[in-house]
Amino acid sequence: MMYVLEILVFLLLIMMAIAFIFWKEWRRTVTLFNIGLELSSTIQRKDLLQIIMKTAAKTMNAEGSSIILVDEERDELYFEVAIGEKNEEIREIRLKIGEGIAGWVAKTGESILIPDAAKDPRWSNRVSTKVNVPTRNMICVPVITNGKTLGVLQVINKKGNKSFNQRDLRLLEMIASPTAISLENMFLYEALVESLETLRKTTAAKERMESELQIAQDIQRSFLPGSSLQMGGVELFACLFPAKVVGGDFYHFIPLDDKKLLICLGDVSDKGMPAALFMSGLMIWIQAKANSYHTPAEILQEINREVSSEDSTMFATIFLAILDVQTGQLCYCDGGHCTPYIIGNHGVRALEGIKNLPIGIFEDGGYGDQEVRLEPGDSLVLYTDGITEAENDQGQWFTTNRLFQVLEGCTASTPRVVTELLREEVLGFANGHPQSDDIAIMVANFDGIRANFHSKQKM
Amino acid sequence: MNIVVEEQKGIQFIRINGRLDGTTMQIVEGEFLELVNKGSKFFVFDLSELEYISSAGLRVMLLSVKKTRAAGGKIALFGLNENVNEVFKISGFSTIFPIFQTEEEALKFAAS
Repeated sequence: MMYVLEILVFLLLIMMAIAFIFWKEWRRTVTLFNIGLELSSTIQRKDLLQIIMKTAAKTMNAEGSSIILVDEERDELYFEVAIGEKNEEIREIRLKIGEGIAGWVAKTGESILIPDAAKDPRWSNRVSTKVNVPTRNMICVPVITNGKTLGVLQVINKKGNKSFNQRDLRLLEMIASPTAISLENMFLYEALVESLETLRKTTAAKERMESELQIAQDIQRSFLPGSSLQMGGVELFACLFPAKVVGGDFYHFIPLDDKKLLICLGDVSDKGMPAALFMSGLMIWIQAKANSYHTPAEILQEINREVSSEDSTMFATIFLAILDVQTGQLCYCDGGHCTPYIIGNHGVRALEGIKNLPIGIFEDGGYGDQEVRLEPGDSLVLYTDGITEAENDQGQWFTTNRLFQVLEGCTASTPRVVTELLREEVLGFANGHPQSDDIAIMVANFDGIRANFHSKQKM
Repeated sequence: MNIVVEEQKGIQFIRINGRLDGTTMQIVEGEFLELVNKGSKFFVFDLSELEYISSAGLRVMLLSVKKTRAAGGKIALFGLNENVNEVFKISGFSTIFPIFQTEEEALKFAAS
């Protein structure tokens, strides 16, 4: 009978032991489940890292824990520690991969259990003194997802003066796996936030740039004298179409006295902002020199002296003339610009003459004047190579031949009509092909009858 | 555009074909400055295969003249087609470059 009782007690003990094992297993499952829940409760770095450390320390019954992340770009490990009396200041500590225990774990991807840290050669003194916690024992496991080590998770000093064992090591490894998933989510979220921020900044910069360009265009336009002028026997119309928002083509007209009108048109050897800045400078120099010097060549020589420098290769072709609005006498200087045309009763003819160098080439460049007389009804047509080199989809150019033909058809038209017709013809030719160069046109018509009427009125 | 540089008896031959404009001028500028920095100061530009030159293209030619003058060297051009010659003439650039018909004449000038 006694024997049977012993067996029963023995069986009961075995059952209790099995139940205990199951209960422990169940508790561990519940713990891990709860850890998983806690770790997925946030995606914000600051909160998540805190939760990971708190959870690991609590579950492992450890005095402290840390989560150390891999910085792939710098091939380093880093972690943040709270310092100061109330932990108000955060300091970042960085380790080389391979340095210290955490570094070793990150490098090898293997877990490590250290019963006595002080005796282990892999223990980094540098970190130990920095975090100001004397380390007795520790476990350090890699946090890996998809074969990539995101960081290492470590716990230090088991509570109650005990040491960590193999079971603790396995438990921490289990915690590491939901940790990896939550960290990966955090990194993805941060990458998303960062790319949104980059997009926001790029958009803002682009908008700022566009508005600055718009302002630059307004400023550049403000240098132009307007688009039309009537003075004595001269009627003038001009227009400017930059290929980009701002450009390097320009024109100017300035009445010098009752009968002298300065006109000019030119092309800076570049496009966009650099050309626009150079052009703006030129417009100011033209204004400044126009009244102090008598002839176009003198004026160009002076402007050239101002804008030339040894190192610069920025230059501008320019045609500058002084027109007598009573007689039609035209004194001009051609600084390497597209050959102008004179249209009128005789038809179309090119204003051939001596070609001087563009301005901005050599400081000591010499310039010479030439003269021609506009007959009543004649118009002087100035333009830039944006007209003759306008391209269509087949890669063909508008050419001076087409320009000549268009002008032949409008020898008796007003300056505005000639300008608009020319612009329309070029647009029609390009047939939607984007304009690649700036275009400037100026047409000045000399009307003998109006000039006589004007001078008679004055007498 | 394509550029070939070769040296003959201390004279750098720069052969350019295609279009020399705002985009391609940077390549020529880079090649030219490299030669100047290495101490070269005698240049012959072979433009017989150059189809087109824009005003931006002229800037690199101007750079070559300025750099060569500063170094006390010589520069010569040859083989300009009708279009390119017209651009040099209209822009007045023909007055700052010694321009020749043949390679022999250009070489003779640069070497003298």
